[in-house]
Order: sequence, then structure tokens, then C-alpha cells
Amino acid sequence: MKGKPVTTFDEINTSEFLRQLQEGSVEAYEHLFRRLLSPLVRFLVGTMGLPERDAEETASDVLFSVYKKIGSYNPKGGARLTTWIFQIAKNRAIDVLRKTEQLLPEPEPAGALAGRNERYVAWISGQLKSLSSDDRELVLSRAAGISYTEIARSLGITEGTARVRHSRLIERLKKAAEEGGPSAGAARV
Amino acid sequence: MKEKELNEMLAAALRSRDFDVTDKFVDAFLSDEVNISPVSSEQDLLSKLRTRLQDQAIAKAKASLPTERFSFGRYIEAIRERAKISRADVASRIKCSLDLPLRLERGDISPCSLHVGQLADFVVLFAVSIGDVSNLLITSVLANEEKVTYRASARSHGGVRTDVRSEDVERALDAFARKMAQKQASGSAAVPEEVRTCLFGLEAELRRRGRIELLK
Repeated sequence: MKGKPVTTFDEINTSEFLRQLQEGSVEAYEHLFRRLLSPLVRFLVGTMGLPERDAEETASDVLFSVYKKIGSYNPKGGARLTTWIFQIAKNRAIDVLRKTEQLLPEPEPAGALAGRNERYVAWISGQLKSLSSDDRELVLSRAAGISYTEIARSLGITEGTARVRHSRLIERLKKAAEEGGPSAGAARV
Repeated sequence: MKEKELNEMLAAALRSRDFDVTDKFVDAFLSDEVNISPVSSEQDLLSKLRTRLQDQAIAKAKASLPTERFSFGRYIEAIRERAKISRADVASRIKCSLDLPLRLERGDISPCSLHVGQLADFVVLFAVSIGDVSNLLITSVLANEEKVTYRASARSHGGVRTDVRSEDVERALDAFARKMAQKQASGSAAVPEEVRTCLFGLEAELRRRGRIELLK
């Protein structure tokens, strides 16, 4: 790879680095791999719920598929390169989880494991879609275990504001669940 | 609703296809130091990735490269250069000495003189089918015979010695010899004995390794 090696995540999103990837520079891919392997593994384990062993292989597969798909990435399409890669990782994880679920034909539990119940997920998705994009970002980022400090920084607000706003949003969602949520009325699936 | 249930639902929503990953989410995620601690298997995974990238690059490079214009060594060299893989990478992949890929590419060593396992290593790495190997070996053997004659002729006419000849001169000599050999080969269908023996051994080796897809 010509020029300086990539040392920060911002540099991954530069047009120069993208050019190197699109030219098929193995060195550029190795830099990308070194920078993103660990965060992708954390994302796949912590956010997507993959077992650690599967997550490492999946993260590696994701970075290899970037090599094959990089020609179709268009920075003008909206998402940054890092975001595009995380989206690939998310899609891959969903596929892996689906396959795992097919191997476990037990009925979906309700209650405390409501996250695995489709009706509950559809309800919360509807609630989240009704929020502003920043509020949705705040709630989902916290659900992913990201610290208030970093969420606040990415949203351009103070940490205190992020905490207060998050607390209010959670209360609002709880209230909505009690008034007409997925467990209200109909029997659980 | 209990907070635990709500959190479970939020985590599930995050895992669903309903919500795309956003720039802000990834920014926050990558800024959190907890998420960038090293992974213990990084070196193993990197090595696997390197292998896959090289294989992919070789496949891409091969797609646009006809075999008939090359000797075995020059064919390997052309793929390697197009795939942007160094000779050191090749040596590392097939666990041979650093100078073997160079000597094979230049035609200093005939591919038929390699140990069959070593030849199979090159064939497998560059995914060359046995049919193509056959053509490449014939060209190699005939070109090498021509080259020996030209070298001797060059020396007797005051040409430079092998050890001080530049890579460019060697390449030109190689190309010329290959052309002459191809002309000669087009006139006769006979496969040199050493190529036949070599192919026989190679086929058995590829079978032993289970690389049936290369036996075409």
C-alpha cells in the first residue's frame, strides 16, 4: 500500500483508502482487517448475540466479502465505508442466527425472553420508528451497550442530556407497553 | 412491562432487519474503547484471510490470461504479477526456498525436473488444470531446448555470460525461444517423454490430494 498506513477509523473512510481497496491492494485489506476485526467481533457478540467462536469466523468472512463486494460500494450512496461494513456484518449475523434457530426447533418463549418473540419485536420496532432519528439512535445505541459518553459525542449533545433523554424514552416505552403493548389483551405466542 | 423485558425487546429490534446500521451508531461504537480490545485469534484469522485474498486475486488474474503463449514458469509469473503477489508470498504459501519461484519463472529449472510434490504445490496454488499444465510443460521443455542452443550460440559469439545477463535480456531470450518452440511444436503432435512422465506423476499426486477439479 502506498502512503501512510491507516491508523484511525476516520482514515478508513477516506477516498484515498477506498481507492486502494478498490484497486485490490492486499496490504490495504490487511490494514482494514487489523483495524476492524476486533470491533466487528465485539459487535457480533455483544450486539448481535453470536457466540464468540462463531463471531471471530464471521467477522473474518465479512472482511473477506468486503474484498469481493468493494466494487459495488458507492460512498455517494449514503453510508460511510465503516457503516457499510457493519451493515454487512449485521446481515451476515442475522443469517447465522437464523440457521442456528433452524437447528433449535423449540417454541419461542415469551415474558423475560420477549426479544425472541416476533410479535414483541414487531411492536417495539413500530414504537422505535415513531421516534425521531436521534432518539431512536440513542435508545438503540444504549441497547447495544455503548456508553453515554460516546453516544452523546456522536449525537452532538452532552452526556447529561443523553442520560436524561434516554431515561425519559425508556419510561415512555414502558408506559406504551402497559397501555397497549404486545402482552396487553391477546394471549402470548 | 418489566425493564428486563423491554431491554430484551430493544436488543432484538437492534438485531432485526427493521433497522439499518447508521453512521452515528458506528461512530459511537468505534469510539468506545471497550470495543477495540484485541482478539486472541487475530494472527490466525489474518493468515487465513491473506490466503483467501491471494486465491481470489489469482482466480481474477487467471481469468484474462491465455495459457498457450506461455511456458509454465512464465505463466506462473504472469499470474503472480497480475495478482500482485510477491515471490516471497509464493515461497511462503508452498513452503519452498525463496529462490525457487524465481528460478522456475526464468526457466533456470525445468518444471519437469521438480519433485512431483513441489510441482503439485505450484499447480494447486495457481489452480492450473492438468490440461493447461500439459500445454505449459510442452512449451517449457521445447523452449528450454531452444534456449540452450541460443545461449551457447550467444556465448560463442562473444555474448554476455548467464550470471551477468539482465532480467530483460533473459526474458527476451525466453520469449524468442518459446516462439521458436511453438512453431516447432505445431508441426508435430508428439508429447516429449519427460512431460508425459511428469504429467503421470502429477495426476497421481493431485488425486492423492483430492484436487479432482484440477484433473480436467
